[in-house]
Amino acid sequence: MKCQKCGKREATTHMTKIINGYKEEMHLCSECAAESAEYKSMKSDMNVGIGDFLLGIIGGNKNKQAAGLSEHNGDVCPTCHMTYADFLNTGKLGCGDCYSAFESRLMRPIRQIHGTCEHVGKVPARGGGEVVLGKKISKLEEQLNAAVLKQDFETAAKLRDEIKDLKSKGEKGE
Amino acid sequence: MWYTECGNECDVVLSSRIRLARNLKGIPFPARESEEEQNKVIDLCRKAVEDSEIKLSYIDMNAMKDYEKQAIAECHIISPQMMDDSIRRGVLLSDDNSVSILVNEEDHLRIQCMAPGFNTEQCMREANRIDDIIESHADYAFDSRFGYLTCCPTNMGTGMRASVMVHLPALTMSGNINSIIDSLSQLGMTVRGIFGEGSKASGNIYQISNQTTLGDTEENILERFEQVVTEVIDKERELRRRMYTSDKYKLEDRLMRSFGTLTNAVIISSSEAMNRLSDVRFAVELGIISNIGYSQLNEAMYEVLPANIIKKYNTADAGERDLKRAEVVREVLLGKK
Repeated sequence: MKCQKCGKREATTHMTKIINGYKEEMHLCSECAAESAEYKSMKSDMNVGIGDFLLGIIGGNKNKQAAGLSEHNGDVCPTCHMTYADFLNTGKLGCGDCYSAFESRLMRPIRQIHGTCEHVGKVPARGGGEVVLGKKISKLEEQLNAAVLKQDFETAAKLRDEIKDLKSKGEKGE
Repeated sequence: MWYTECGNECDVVLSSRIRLARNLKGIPFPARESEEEQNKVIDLCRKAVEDSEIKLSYIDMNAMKDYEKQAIAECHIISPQMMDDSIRRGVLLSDDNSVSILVNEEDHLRIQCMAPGFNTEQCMREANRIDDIIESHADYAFDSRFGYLTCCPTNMGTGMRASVMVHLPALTMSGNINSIIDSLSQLGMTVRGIFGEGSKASGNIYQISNQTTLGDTEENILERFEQVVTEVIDKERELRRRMYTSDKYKLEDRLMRSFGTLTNAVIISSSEAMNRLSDVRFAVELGIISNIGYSQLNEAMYEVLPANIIKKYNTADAGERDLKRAEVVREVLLGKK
């Protein structure tokens, strides 16, 4: 079907307008549709928030059915008592502890939004020392595991000592 | 007020802003806080600021009238979403309005620093300084992997949103703006209307901000943001030159007609005023009008907004407002004020 307005391009947008029982149908191409008053008013009324997208990404209609709104959606954050289903509805979390309570399921949407899950920016000074140390240790532990798998025991021994050093430093609060 | 000043690249960039989202450890985010917790967050913030050298005064949002709230929303201090007063909320605000801390908006704290022109770096330094001061009084909700934890996962990590308000008449008139918006979103930037999320562009003014807040350092995010904005500035300037050389008299006529309207109109609506002011600004940018400065234009831009008129002149009636608005614009542009 050709567009009713320009008569050149293929009609891809179909609108039905009903005013006082009088029905009018329009078949337009995407360019003419974007210029029509009806479409503009429709678009300005559509206030799509991030929540709507999140729902699509994580819970989405299809996913929700597939998961049969699984019992996990009833999981509750111990601090603020928010359920995972609440998050799916609003796209907003209830408190900082929600991030650990729903960690495994948050990874996917976080990656969709930011392309990664690792923070590398500013660290608060208060308690920040621990954070930096913790990061360093977990990185070394990863390397240690890799060395063990490769049966490179010389490197593994070195890494083990390094981790031990860092851990004792952390305990002394240095 | 800070926004009447003229900063770097002020022929395109009206203002810059950095916003940091922060939450306190162990307290639910504002939407799920008890009233007691809401008050606790407010008290803690006020105490942290009072004990420091930063001079901010506290405004209780719940004690404000609707038009007063709308007036500070028009000045971009609070988001329109913050006008809802089901939660105990407040703003810590500096005298010139350039620094503000929103308490109990979507997150416990939103630290905002604004500057005239293109100067995100200065905003970042100031925001960091305030962040450090508050952090010395409170434990933030922070995770070594996820960074600063926020109510909406789109803000997590650095919690940092950089934005600039830009005037893009040439890109808009030439119809290039949509392709610019598309390319910017591919580069991880968001383009919105003048009043942020969900708002339409008015007076050819757009807000550009970074989309992602996780996975890179604040410095790198800011550097990339500045590069993209610099590109937009260059494109806009080039198009302005091209438009002016290709159709000089037609463009001059259009812009000068708007100047004529603004300096002679008796009644004017806020949307007409915004669009005509954009034309006059364009004429100033091109050098067609030389006896008007950017600071006058910036002042006029905020003075014409509905709630600012109500607040200043106590005019509840829309018709009276349009009359007052025309008078204010005339005075500001003709320098009688």
